Parts: sequence; structure tokens; C-alpha cells
Amino acid sequence: MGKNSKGAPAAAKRAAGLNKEPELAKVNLQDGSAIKRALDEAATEALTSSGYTEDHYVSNVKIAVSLLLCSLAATAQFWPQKYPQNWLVLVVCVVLYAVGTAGLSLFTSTAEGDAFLFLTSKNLGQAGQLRVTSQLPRFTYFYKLTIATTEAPAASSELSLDVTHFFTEEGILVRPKFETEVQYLLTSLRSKKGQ
Amino acid sequence: MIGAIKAQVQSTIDEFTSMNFRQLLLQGTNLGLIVTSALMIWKTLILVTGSESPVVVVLSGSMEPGFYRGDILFLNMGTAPVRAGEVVVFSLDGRDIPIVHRVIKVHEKSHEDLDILTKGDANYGDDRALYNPGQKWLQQEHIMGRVIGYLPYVGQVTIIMNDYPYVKYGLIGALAVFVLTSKE
Repeated sequence: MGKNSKGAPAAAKRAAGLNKEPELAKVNLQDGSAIKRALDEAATEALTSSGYTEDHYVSNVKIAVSLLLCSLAATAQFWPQKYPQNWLVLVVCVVLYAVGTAGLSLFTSTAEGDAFLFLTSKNLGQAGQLRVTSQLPRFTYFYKLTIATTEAPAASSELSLDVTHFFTEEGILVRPKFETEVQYLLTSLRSKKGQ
Repeated sequence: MIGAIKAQVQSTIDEFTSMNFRQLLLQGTNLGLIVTSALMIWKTLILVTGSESPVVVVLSGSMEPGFYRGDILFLNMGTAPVRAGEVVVFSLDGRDIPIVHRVIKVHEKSHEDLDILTKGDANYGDDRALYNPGQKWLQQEHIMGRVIGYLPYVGQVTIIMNDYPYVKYGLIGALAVFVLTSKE
């Protein structure tokens, strides 16, 4: 009897280790950005399993443009001629790099902004894209999650949560509770869109 | 203490494995952009100053008491012809490392055709001992730039990294890991 009760927590720990479930990952409750990250990831999982797929357009553009800029820099660095014979190549690369970097910043701030997730509907008859943004201002406990459509008809739903209601003292996110809130947000958006 | 380091290393490794390929690519290109932006600033400096190496570190004590080992020098080329008395940085054919010495003699056949002799202030003789065998003069194209400013002592870091390459690799490695795992 005594042996069993001692063995149970150890067995649970072993089982958790074997599964390596991300739900059991501890979050440092002093770190606001870690809390926001954990909530964003949980929201992403909840939304992508409700009939929506992640739209990678913004992320693809960022990766492609970054790779382009890096290859510009590589050209400038590894061009076979030495300075000053290669000055034209240098000028072209530097100017294009500056323009490209500025353009990428502009694109990121306008297209992405606060958003951490873009969704397209898979098959549920809803048209258009969704944009999911979140804020967790410093030194506050209120996490605001917003889902908005990016095309007409414009609709958005937001949710303000007290993060202390969703984390245990050890820093584990209570997923089912959070996912319920996310689902509620989704249904309220759908009703606003007049589904 | 070792336990804490091991825990930190383990958590870093966990962060890497928990990222999916797309996130890893995003973080990787982020790191690439940081590195290349530093490189491009350097290239812009090359274009603006007209010098192949706009910032150099003094590696020897041959210009004491003016410049000491570990000082950083800022160079500018400009279009004016080289004149005696100027401190210049020159590189010899076939050698990587540029040398900072003072011009002591200039024979000018025309603005483009100069014979230049240099000498380190603290050296006993002129630089003919340093030039390539059979070379008695430098030409304009060997000159990389004139010294227009300097920062004392700051270059010691570069010298340490040169003498102990593992410091360099360690620093760069640590920086790369830091950028790749930061999720800002």
C-alpha cells in the first residue's frame, strides 16, 4: 500500500517524460513575454484544430526576402574583385540591401503588426482570412486576444482574460480552460459575420 | 554551479528541438539579417571613405609614441596626392596584413605616378626591409588610406581575439545561440 503511493508520482513523471507533452511545460511566471508566448501557442493550437489552417503567406514573404538580402550581402562580400575595382558591385548591393531592408520592415509592420497567426478556412464555408492578434502589456495581467476578418464583411471579436486564472502556481497552462475561451471567441466571431 | 550550467544548456537544446522547421528558418534568417546588416554597414563605410579597410587596429609598436598596439585607426583615402609626413596604411602585394607607418619621402613624376618611402616612427631604419624583395618604393595603389582619427586601447579586444582564436569562436557561437533562441 505504502509502496504504491510512493510509486505513483514517480510513474506519472516517467509517463509525462515519455510523452514529452508540451502542455506540461512550465512557464516562468515572472516573464511576461513567456506567458504571452505560451498563450499564443495554445490559441494557435486551439484555432488550427477548429477547421482552420494556418496561412503562411506573411511568414513566407519574410523568409524569401531575408534570403534574398543575405544573398546580396554574400555577393558583396565574395565578389572576386577587390576594392576599388568592385565599387560598382558594392554600390548596387548596398543600395538594394538598404531598399530591401526598409521594404521588409514596412511590410512586417503593416501586414503583420501585432498578429501572431493568420488563418484561412478549410471547408466550413466561411470565406476569407482571419487575423489573430494578441497583447499582453508589461506589468499587467490582462491578455487581450482579437480575431478579425481581413476581408469584407469586416468583423472582429476580442477577449480580455486575466492570465492568473489560467496558470497554475508552478506555471503550467491549464489548456482546456483556455481553449474553451478561444472557442467562445470563435463562435462569437462567426455570429457577428452572420453565419 | 555545473548543475545550473547543464540545466541552461539542456533548456537551450530543448528550445531548439521544440521549434518546428518554419520557426527555425525564421530565426535563422533573422540571425542572417543581423550579420549581413553589420556587413553592409562596413561595405558602406568602405565606399564612403574610399579605403579598402576603413578601420584598422595597430598591431605593432613601430609608431610609438604616436600610436600604441591596440589603438584603433580611422582611415580615409581622399583624392589628394600622398605627401611626406602623412601617416598612411599600406598593404604589400602578397601580404594580408596592412602596415601603419609615416611617409618620409615622395618622388612625384606626375599626380598619378608617385614613388613613396615609409618608415615607422619608432623604427631605426626605413621600410625597405619590409617591402618585397627588389621593391624600393611604394606606389599610390599600395596606399589604403590616410589616418584621420584614432581611438586608444579599444582595439585590444581584436588583438586578444586574434591571439586566442577560441575566444572569437566562443563569442560568435554564444551570440548566434542567443539570437536563435530569442523569440522576440
